[in-house]
Amino acid sequence: MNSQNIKNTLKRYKQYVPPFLGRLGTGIWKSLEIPLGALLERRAILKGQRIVWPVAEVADFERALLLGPTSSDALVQVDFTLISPGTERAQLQGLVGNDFPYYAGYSGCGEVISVGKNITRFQKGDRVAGRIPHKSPATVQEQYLFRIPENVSMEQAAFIELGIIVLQGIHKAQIQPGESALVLGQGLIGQLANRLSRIAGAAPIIAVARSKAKEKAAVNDWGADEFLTSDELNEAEPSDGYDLVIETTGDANILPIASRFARKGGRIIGLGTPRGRGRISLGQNGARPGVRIIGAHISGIPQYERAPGLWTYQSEGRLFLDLVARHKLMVDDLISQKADPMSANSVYESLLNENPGIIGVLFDWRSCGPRRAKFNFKG
Amino acid sequence: MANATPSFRITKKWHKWKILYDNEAIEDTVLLKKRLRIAAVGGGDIGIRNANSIKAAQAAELAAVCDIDPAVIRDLAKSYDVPAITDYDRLIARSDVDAVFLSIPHHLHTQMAIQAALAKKHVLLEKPLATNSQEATKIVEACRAAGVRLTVNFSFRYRPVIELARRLIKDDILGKISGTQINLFQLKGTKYWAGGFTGRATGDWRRSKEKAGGGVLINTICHALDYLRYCTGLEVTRAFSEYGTYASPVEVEDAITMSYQYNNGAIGSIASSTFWHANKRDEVLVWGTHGSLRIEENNVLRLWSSRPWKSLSPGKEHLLGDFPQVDYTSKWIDRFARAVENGLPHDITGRDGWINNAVIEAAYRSRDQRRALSVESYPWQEL
Repeated sequence: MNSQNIKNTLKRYKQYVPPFLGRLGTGIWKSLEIPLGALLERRAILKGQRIVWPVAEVADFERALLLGPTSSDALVQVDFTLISPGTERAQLQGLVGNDFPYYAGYSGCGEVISVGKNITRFQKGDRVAGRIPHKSPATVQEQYLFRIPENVSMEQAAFIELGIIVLQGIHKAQIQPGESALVLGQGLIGQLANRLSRIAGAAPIIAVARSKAKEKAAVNDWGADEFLTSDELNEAEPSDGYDLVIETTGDANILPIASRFARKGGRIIGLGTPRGRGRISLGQNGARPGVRIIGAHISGIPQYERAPGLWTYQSEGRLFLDLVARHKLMVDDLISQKADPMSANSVYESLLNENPGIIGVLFDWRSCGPRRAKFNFKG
Repeated sequence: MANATPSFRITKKWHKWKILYDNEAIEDTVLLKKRLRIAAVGGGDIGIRNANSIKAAQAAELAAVCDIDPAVIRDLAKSYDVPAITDYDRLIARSDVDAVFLSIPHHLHTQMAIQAALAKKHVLLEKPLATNSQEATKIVEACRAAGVRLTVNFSFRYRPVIELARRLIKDDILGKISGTQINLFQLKGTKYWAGGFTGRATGDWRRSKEKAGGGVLINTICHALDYLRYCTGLEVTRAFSEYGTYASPVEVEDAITMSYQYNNGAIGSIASSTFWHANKRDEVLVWGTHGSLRIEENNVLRLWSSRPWKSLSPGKEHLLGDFPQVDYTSKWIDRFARAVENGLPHDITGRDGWINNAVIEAAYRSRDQRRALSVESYPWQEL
């Protein structure tokens, strides 16, 4: 049920719409969708901003009325959210089966401005990071939030979800010291995969991307040892292959390539979000080379249990922040651009143009509207 | 047909973007020193309307009215209290006339415009500039030699909906322009070809290829060709057309299709008929890499863009309408008069008229030569 429905229903049955409800279908009120449950729960309605993709390949910044937190949510005034260019480009083009309008974003940080009564771990004023969409203020469930340690900056903490995505893949890969790794794709996930597999002990690490533009970010003391473009990789002399091939591109036809470069008995780690359908041959790509294909997409993360190689969301998140706090993991150099959310339209337009130099883009929500959300209706 | 109430809900009302006029308006920046005294020549339907527009223009003054037939201008002269003159030579010899506005059959443009230029009168011409490029060249040459101003009545440019379209394109809302289309289907009828819709001045010059220069393309579509140039800033470089006379008792074409290419590689087409008995269909489409717009009958503009503009959000279609009624002809006269009096460049020049004629000429000749023809480029350097 949305606001227009309420208005129409009232009109039909009462032939009268009170003046304050008359505004429901117009202006900012149009953006409000009230699930019946939210009415019963008496959730607050507050003014906020968000990024919306109304149709494929179009992004917009909008001011909207948002639902306040439930008793088990925290309300976060957002500082930064991170765009993951590869994933969001695919979503924006509608390649991963998402519908429009679509509200994107899944990694950000900010400050808690209020908590539901069931929340014990956080309180007002806490600096938190977690699964936060491109929206401010955002209501976030407690299990997707982490307190940011003192010596981790807000910009670093905004990488949290990306860090978790890669860390759970690294755990599932069960890397042994000295194993060679080939990382296919050097977007944000690929870059973090270089760095985290180095921390896990893999060596040497070869980063592969289509263009040279990402070499500088990939090859350094805390990342990959060597960089190859995909053409160079194809032309390279045949070797024994790599113990680990970490796939981060999401390309449907990557598996034959990955299996070509895996050592006999090696492992292919499927980290990217696969889009579209590709053709693979079990014999040629899996059975004969004797490779193991390990599905390591974030959607396979366990919620509650923790087993060897299967860490929970919470434990991965805490580990990420810990690694950053102890300067084991660098992320600052992955920020190519800080953008104003109001310029979302042009930011995503340049993203669609596939500028290979862009790795991570942060939306800076601090300048958007008042620091504190205005409560114009308290249930 | 004017002002039929649109049956749809217009999403944005004009008053929200009055700002459109403010930036480039001469009248806001220039003081009015003295009014330009313009004589209205020609007493047909359009001539009368134009005389009224001269009267309505703040910076201009109706100095006299002129027609070879005294009957058609008698009432007008009386109601505006200006001299009614039947002899054109006597009119242009008068010292109380600064400029002439010629609303006369196309084939008379050349001779009468050159006469006016020789008499050092500025020339305001009804569209088209001339029946063909050669004639147009003569007019522009004469005006340049005499040092008088020449302007052509492509005043559709001042329609608010056109101004808005231009602003949208200028603000890069459509991205790189990649195409345009003009569709015009209407009923002209025998009366139109015989002299005019009201029939107050009879004459069959519109039927004659030699006198009119052509049919629906040169008579009507010339406006859309011009305002698309104005909106997009693009020039047609190559054109091909097919046309014929199908249902009207005339020598000129009464239906035409045309395709053309712009200097940036964009493409376009025209389809038009003058014996379309159903509801009039008049639309101009412009599309680019990031959006499209459609100018429809009833002064409505439909916009879709992937980019936001002012309060219009991207990714959906907006119906922009409710524009104010503007006497665009008098706005054109007013701005021309102010530009002349203050020594400033005026908006619609002989160059615009000449280029319009060149495109039309290439289109007409392309059918006879059975191949697309390049449009000649303007032969003079702009001052």
